[in-house]
Amino acid sequence: MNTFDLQQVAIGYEQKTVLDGLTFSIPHGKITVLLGANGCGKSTLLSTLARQRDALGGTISFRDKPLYTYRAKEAARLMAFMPQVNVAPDGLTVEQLVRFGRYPYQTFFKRYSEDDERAVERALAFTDTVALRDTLVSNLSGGQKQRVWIALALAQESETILLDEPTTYLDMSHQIEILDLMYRLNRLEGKTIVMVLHDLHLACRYADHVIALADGNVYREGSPNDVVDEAFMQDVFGLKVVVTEDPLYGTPLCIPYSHYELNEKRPPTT
Amino acid sequence: MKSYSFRKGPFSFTLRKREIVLAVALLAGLLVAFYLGVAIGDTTLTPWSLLAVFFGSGDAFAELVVFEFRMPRVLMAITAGACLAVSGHLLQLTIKNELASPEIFGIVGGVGVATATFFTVFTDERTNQLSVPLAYIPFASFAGALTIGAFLFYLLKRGVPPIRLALIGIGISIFSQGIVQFMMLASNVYRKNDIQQWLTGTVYAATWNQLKIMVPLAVLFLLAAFLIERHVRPLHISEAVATSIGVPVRGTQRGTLVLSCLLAGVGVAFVGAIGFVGLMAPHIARQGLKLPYIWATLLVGAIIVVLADVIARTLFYPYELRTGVMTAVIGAPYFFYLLRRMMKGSMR
Repeated sequence: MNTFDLQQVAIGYEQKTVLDGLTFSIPHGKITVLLGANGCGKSTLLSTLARQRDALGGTISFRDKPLYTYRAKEAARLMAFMPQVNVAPDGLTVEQLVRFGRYPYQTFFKRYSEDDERAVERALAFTDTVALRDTLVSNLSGGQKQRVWIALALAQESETILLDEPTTYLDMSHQIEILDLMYRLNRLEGKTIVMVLHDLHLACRYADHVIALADGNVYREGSPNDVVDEAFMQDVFGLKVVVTEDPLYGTPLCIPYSHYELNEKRPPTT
Repeated sequence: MKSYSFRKGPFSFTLRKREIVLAVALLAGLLVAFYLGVAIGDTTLTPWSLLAVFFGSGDAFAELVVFEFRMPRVLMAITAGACLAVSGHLLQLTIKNELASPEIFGIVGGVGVATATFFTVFTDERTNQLSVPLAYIPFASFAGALTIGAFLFYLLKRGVPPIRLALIGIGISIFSQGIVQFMMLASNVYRKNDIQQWLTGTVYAATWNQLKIMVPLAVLFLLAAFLIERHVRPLHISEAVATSIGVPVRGTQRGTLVLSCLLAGVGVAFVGAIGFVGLMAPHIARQGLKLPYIWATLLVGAIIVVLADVIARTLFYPYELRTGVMTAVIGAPYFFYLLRRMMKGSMR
């Protein structure tokens, strides 16, 4: 079973189609990363999959049913979406924020059941934010904030989690921390993870499956080792690189050429 | 943080200790405000003599003062304050705008035009009495409020940013005041007085008849607000998160906007434009007391208007200020403070 199946899908804004004729699948139980240059439409694609916007055409299936036949709460119990930019309202504590993730399980009378409490505690524990529970979200550091927003998504207890650039604005150690968290969610909890990532190196390291977008369609998809090579980098990013092997994990590592002389050193000629 | 959970069958909720404490404190505050509102004036009553009046053993004059003059006034202040506060609260949450309130977004201005039109059209020229039942006034208010609400909805859909929205609202307010002034010029002295009284907002002339119309409507809309609260709160985080957790975002936004207009309409229908309550009360509850809930906003709004009225009529005794003047004295500087914070970009 695939988590998403797309058939001839067109995506974009009211008058402007960004991606057209998309036909691909996102595998169940894997970490999938969407790659592409700035403005290629990968965030728009992700938010369309997350039901934040309607597709312009084609059919999208989510767990073998048309995406738009799910009721809002039903969908929220199956998938969670973390937007790229998140700002909590003033005066909200970590625990209060994470509790919002239980909305799809609640009714007017059933406001906070034992299941809700368990899920919130689990989400806090998994993201290592238990000690922060009574802290105001606005007072947290960048890395802590990001973990709290992930906890909010985890409280939904959905099988699928979509994240739009969860590592933006974080330094390298916090990027690794967040991606390790995604890895654990996938390997230990069996969750399907779909992410947009900017850092190609880390994307290749953590992804089981990458889907690269260029020129309004899927350029290539597969495992990072099959997808990323020098021609790919030239076509998708317009960048001349040397692809080597990550000495730690054996995944592709791209060393880009610069266009100017740096520190008197000339770019080596090839 | 200490909290208590109540779970039985299909029912479950939790209350945090500080929320319970603050709820009791706010209720006590409202009780004190109520006492001050009913007891202070030409004849000031002690708590004991007031209790005597309520249990039917007070003297006849005190009874007259309490039941005929002061009670309607205080109850009107509570109802108006609660409705305006909750109206502002819903607006602020649903469109994620700290400057949002029925006064600043021009909703109250729209009600003003509608009410002035109502007085002009439905007053008998010879008797200077309304030619239709009093109960029709709220519907004039709703028409005015919803017209502006529809316009706001259109602006929101076009993605107009918060500060510009506030400026447009202030524009609407000034424009509607102009229209109202013009209508006053064209009408006779009695109507002029009615309209003038409405414009500054006062609970001075409140009557039991007005309350009989207003309170059921207020209760109905406030109950609706409590029903929609669960769905509105996530919108205060962001539309994206609300969608992700399964909130029907479009429907909630529309419903909340309509409800907010109706609440503002009830709030000002009889007492007029008691300004800035819809802006201040939600802020005091949310930022000051850290209680982002409707019940807290409602209590704060009610307390503000009752106290404003008490101060307005005791400050320059025996002269009375209008209630709306009192709330504006505190509210206007607060508005500028918010505007400044927003301009500096420390607020979204």
